[in-house]
Amino acid sequence: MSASGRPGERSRWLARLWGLMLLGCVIASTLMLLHGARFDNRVTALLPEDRQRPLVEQASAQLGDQFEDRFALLLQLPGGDTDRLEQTTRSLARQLEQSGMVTALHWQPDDFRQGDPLETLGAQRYRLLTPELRQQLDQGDSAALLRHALSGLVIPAGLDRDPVRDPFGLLDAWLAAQLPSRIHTDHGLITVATEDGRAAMITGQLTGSPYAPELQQQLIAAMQGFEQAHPDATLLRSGLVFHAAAGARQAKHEISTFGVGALIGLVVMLLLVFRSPLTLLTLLLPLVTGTVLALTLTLVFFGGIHLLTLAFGTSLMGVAIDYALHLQCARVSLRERFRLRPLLPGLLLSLLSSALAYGVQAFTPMPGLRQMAFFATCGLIGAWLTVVLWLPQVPVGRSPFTERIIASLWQLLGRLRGRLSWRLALLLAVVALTICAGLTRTNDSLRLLDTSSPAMLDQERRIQQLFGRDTGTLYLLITAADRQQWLEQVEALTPTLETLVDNDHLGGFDSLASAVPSHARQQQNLERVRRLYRTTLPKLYDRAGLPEQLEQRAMQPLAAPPRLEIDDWLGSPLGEGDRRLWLGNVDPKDTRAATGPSPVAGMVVLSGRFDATARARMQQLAADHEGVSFVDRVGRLSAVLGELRQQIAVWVAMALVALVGILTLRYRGRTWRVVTPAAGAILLVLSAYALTGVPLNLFHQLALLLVLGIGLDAGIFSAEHPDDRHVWLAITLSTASSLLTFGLLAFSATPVLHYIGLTALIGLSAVWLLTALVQPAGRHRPSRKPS
Amino acid sequence: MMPSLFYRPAALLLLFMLGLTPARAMTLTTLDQQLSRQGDVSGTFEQHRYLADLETTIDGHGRYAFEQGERVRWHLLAPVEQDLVLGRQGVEQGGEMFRDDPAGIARLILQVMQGDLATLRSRFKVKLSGAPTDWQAHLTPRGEALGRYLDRIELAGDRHMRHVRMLMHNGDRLDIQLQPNSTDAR
Repeated sequence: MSASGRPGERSRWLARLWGLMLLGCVIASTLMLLHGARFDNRVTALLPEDRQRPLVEQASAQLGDQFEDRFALLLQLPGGDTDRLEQTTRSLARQLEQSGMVTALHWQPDDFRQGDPLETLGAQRYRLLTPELRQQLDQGDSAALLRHALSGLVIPAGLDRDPVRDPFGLLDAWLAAQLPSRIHTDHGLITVATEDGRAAMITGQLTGSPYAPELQQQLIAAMQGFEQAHPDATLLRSGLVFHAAAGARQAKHEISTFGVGALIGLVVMLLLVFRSPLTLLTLLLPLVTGTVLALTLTLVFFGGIHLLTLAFGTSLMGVAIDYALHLQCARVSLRERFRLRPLLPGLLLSLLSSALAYGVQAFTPMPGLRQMAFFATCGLIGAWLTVVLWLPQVPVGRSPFTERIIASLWQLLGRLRGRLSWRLALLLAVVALTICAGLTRTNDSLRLLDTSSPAMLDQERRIQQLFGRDTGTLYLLITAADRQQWLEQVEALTPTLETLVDNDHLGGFDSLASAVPSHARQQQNLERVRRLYRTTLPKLYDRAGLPEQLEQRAMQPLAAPPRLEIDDWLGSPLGEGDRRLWLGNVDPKDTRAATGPSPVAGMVVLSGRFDATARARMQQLAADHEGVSFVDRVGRLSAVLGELRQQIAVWVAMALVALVGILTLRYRGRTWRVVTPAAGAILLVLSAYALTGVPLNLFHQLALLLVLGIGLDAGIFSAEHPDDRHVWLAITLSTASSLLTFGLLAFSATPVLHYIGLTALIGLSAVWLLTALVQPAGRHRPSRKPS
Repeated sequence: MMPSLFYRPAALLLLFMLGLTPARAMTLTTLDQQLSRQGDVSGTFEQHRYLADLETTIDGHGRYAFEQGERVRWHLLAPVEQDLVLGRQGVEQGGEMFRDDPAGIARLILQVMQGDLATLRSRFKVKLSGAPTDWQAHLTPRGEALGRYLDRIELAGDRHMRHVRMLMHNGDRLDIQLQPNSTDAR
């Protein structure tokens, strides 16, 4: 390497080689993305493979995704004026229809055109008995049955109440048991009883994806128009589209304030310091090339990339701007006296420390972390190579203004340096460690990832409660060798569930077995019905004045009625609501129990109240019965986040110990000055959270990794070049630019971004201050001296 | 996503049986107004259910009462004693609630009793004929689902409703004669 701006032959050759490699990376990654490499967004994909449960994934996806394009609204007016509620609901329905974004809008009783129940259940009805009817028959209470049957014959208040086909109204009783108990019809409306009276219910389907911006805008506009016209109406919303719209609105707002703000701030700051657009570009170029290399290699080695990897990996790579800053600051400051070689040890150590801190996670058992670590490390190396190979070849802008800034920053450093002795640092560290050990709390709740406001989540929860239907976050997953064994298994579990509901431990449950009894139970039911006909039918006909000969005709359908099968029920319009509960035939490899060559699986969804007793019973059920597992979707994902957090903490701590060892080899007694900015900042953040009671989560920790990387860089460069004023400029710019890009996120309303931002804000400020405070006193010279 | 729709044609009929007062001029609007001014009406009924398939008839009789626009009580005396009450809370049979059907027939009945024909009109084509002292109404279902069970409803009366006839799609027929108490004949 020759003097600045005139690189030697060898480095020119290496730079060209690096350029060719990057070009290859761009081509390769484009080809891979076009040919099937996928972006993964399943949180559980971050788990080790032996702990992934394909069937649980499948079940959760079916319970969750099916309702993506559906929505439900509840409309309530003050006072109990049902006529006005009807008019208001009508006008809301009209506005929704006019938006052109919804189809299948249901709000009137007549709209439930569910086909003919006789087709699905007509012949099978003699095998279907509700639990109440079974009990009545078993108790031999034929007097009440006879009275009901007689009045039903005179006033045929039901479906097919025919003296021959269904003298006892079996079909009616069965259908009534399949209806949700909370939904009523009132004044031409479908209503739900709430705490403050009746609310009208409107359900509908979207014409497109709930994520489509145009659809969101039109729908929200229609609803806002309605709300403005009816200020006293209360409108509760449930549906992914409303959360997606709110999330999109918030993201848009935040990108336009924080994102654009940070970008403008960064550009203005770097332009002010360097006064050269070209230099500005050279600072950002390493980040781009680093990402290209990281993306390509991740795609090659992992066959795809997780979206979390992309998000956090690129954030962690933010450290890479350090290399460019240190190089360019040195070139601007030293001008012709710039040489790359003296800078190389610092740059190398800086890369090594960050790569070690991030890369060590590649050895954790968590594939998600491995990928993230791999991505970040590759990105750092790519950025580093660009800085070392390309940047010296690009001319750098020079301004007397830069000199002035360097001078005033150096003055500032002079006032701060030497204020923190190693004794004081050690004391503070011990205090901080005590605070952290005693007070740190953690929270790995999945709610952190929710972008929806608590008010919206509350609306969602209330509607689901009122409908008595959940989105299926808690359920039992049941596998069996075939359909009949599956139904028998569920029937065996049902009494336990019913007891929990009766004793108020569980809100309710949704089970396919209550719509389709097992063959065994259908046979028992049929026998009961035959007995009922033999004992009670003659009396019924006698009282109704019907001829005796009819008895023979009435008994005929009982001879060999067809059975109701799962697939018939689910295939009928009546069974549509139950389809989500059935997975059908599944891959034998995915079932834990030995369930034969063609196992089936389905779910019993638990809804509403769910207390500790219910949880314990569910876990007990799963332990006692092979083929039954209890799934808590939210709890499961929260556990993944918690495990990621713990793994990161353990491995980073180990990497730090190793790093201190390496750094001691080079810096000896000065090592504490190198480590203090990073370690001190992390301890400060952790103590602040411990003292204020903020529970730690995965996202705090990812931000701490960034603080660690930038803090180590600051420590290493200030130790490598203690007398170089440009190093202090680079450190200041590095913390300031990261503060701009990450610290601003502290003001985000999205929990995840807020935590990352707050941590970066406190941590990076501490890095800068600590770097200055630990510099040795008395070495401060006003004049510049090249290293 | 919602459970079954099943109609209760007979429940629907209760409505017509109870004290539809004849309108002065036979338009839906005036009938609407007339009905909305109704108070309590009660009386006795007699009914015959004709089963086409069996070529036989089941007979019954009892009392009816429309209470304060809140409840319709249908009290069958023979061949068995049984109460059927349609209230705001739903339908009660023999003192037990049974689940309200999403087709909303029970509610619909109350609405018509109160003189709100708007909903009825949305589900039936209504044709009126005759004079206020001797009128007939023909109701035919608009919806295909309802039409599969019910061909039409015929109502007739003078100052009060006197006769309700439901003609089912399968040829079955339900005839109800109403005799309002004289104290209610206002």
